[in-house]
Amino acid sequence: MSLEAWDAILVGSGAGGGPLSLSLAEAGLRVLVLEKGPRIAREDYRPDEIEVAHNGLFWPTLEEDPHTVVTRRTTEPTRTQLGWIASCVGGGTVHMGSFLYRFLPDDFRMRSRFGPYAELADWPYPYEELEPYYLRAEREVGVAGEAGVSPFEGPRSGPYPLPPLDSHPLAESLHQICHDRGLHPFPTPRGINSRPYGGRPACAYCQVCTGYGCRVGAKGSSQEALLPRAEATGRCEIRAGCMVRRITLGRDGRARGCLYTDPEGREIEVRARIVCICCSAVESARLLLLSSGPLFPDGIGNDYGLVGRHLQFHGVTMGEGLLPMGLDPSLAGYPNNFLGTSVLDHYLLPEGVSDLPKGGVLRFDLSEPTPVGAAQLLASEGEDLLWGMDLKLALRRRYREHRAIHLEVFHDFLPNRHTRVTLDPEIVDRWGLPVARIHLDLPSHHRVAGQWLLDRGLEVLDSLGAVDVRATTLGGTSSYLVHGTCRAGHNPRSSVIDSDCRVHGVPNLYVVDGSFMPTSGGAAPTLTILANSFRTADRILERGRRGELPEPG
Amino acid sequence: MPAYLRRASKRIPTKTLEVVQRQVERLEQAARNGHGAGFARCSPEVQDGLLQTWSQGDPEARRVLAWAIRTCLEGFLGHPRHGGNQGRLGWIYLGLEEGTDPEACMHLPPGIGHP
Repeated sequence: MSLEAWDAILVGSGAGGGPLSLSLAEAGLRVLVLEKGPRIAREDYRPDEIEVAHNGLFWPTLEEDPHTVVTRRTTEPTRTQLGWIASCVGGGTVHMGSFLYRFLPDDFRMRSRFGPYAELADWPYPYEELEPYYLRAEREVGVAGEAGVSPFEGPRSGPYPLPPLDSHPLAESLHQICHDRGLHPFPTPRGINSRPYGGRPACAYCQVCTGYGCRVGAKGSSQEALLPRAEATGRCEIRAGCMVRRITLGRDGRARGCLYTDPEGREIEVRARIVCICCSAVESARLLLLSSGPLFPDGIGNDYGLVGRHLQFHGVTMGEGLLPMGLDPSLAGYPNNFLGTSVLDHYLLPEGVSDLPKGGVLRFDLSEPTPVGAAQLLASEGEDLLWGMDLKLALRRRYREHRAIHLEVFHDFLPNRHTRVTLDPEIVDRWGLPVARIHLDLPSHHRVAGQWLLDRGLEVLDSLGAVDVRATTLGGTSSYLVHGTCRAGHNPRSSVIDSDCRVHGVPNLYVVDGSFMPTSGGAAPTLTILANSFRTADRILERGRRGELPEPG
Repeated sequence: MPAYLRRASKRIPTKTLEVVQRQVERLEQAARNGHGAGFARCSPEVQDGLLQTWSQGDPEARRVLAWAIRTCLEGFLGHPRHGGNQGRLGWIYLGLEEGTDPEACMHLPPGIGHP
């Protein structure tokens, strides 16, 4: 029986798969997108903390499809959702906060800039190479921002396509305080429509954004901004609920296609001229490792044992303060929690703070009204558990007498030899396949840099009049900002894929998601993943024009 | 709240549920021994004291109490579709129905948020 044949198979539909699907389908290629998770309708997104946290709206359950994690201290692997970005059409872009910062030029040359520290490496291309694709990504998904305000941003060849989102009146005071402290605040770039754009509506300012799907479609997710346009070409088909079990190879060592299990449990093999793995850093590495065979006994692309190495999350440090309602009349009931303010001044740390003088981005917003999470934190963060009247008073204080202001610090997660992905030798998923085991280690720089950056942010909150300013997370690990595992580079002995995201030694197999990133960058990475995917699509199409794409095997 | 707690207890692994049951029985026994009535019949002040004594010095009891607090908060403040927060009383208690309604985007007037 002849196998179904496509020009391109994409495994995954998020920040990696979305741009590829659009670019390749618009250029005339027939594209099949295989997505493990379901397709959730826009109207089914609700501000429902329980559905998101417990009922597996975006993530698989620990029973059916976990990751496992081990650290230096743990002897037994623990089931975890760490490293799951999402499992649904649109991937993690569906629930992202959509903080679409560009990286700075130094992020692309960490080894050259800072020397041989930890396992830092330079990227195989510089900022200038990605800049046109940053601009394209901003235009394709619709980023609201203002260029040229921060003197620290990298060079740009064009403005943001949308003006900044409206902000809460308090943002004016916040900006003034930042200026008084010698800082340079700028509007946080958000992939959210500040005006109707791309056939999608403007933001409704519903206050429930990060961690949730957008009910009005204003967030520029892959599901909203990219995949429908790819499908509209008539050349892209998205199959949800399809679990890719392995990449199949021809006798010549090229990728032939893949084998997947459909929602009815049937195993189906499809073939294509090129295959792109876009299922997030942890799952993409896992799929390469699961695809071992006679040609690649340790997994595809793993001749030098590098697949899964250099796993990075993102350094996450957060703080909070309480603004007394009497501070500003707009605090009570103003229907907008965006302060939309970021500060890049501390992207580099002063000498003496840490061995590595690399800082990050401070972001300020009013806290989203997620009462379950906030109350659970209040109940458990102290030495003693809070319940009964003590907890009721704490809740009234937070919600009735104050409005919470949130500080988030994005900073680098350093690649290190202990943090990586392997196949778990014991635990399997509901398809009977070994799950990904995450080996996690946190270099001390994360806490040191996080503490210094946190202190700078809390100083701002303090000046604004906030009380109870405190850290809520210090040097933590972002569960769903995941990178590394298939490091891109020029040398096959020190990288898994080349500068065009092709697996070394398998010229028609690509890995196109956060896996390619040699270092994590000091800002949220989603725009960089989108931009790199647009760049990779261009490289694929150039090869096609040169007649270098093989016929389906 | 009971409706939510019944649903939430179904997602607990069997082993964990056994721990919860064992610890709840301990708490119940302490109430009967110390106050001659089951925990539910004690006054709120006595209940607080019982919880304090029960959870101190026993890491397992503390974990169960932490779980119970987390779960009750889900019932009190979670979306009503899961059986708790009836009449949105939890949200009203926090003032979230008075301008910062978590469901605000579901009740937009026509024309707002749409092109």
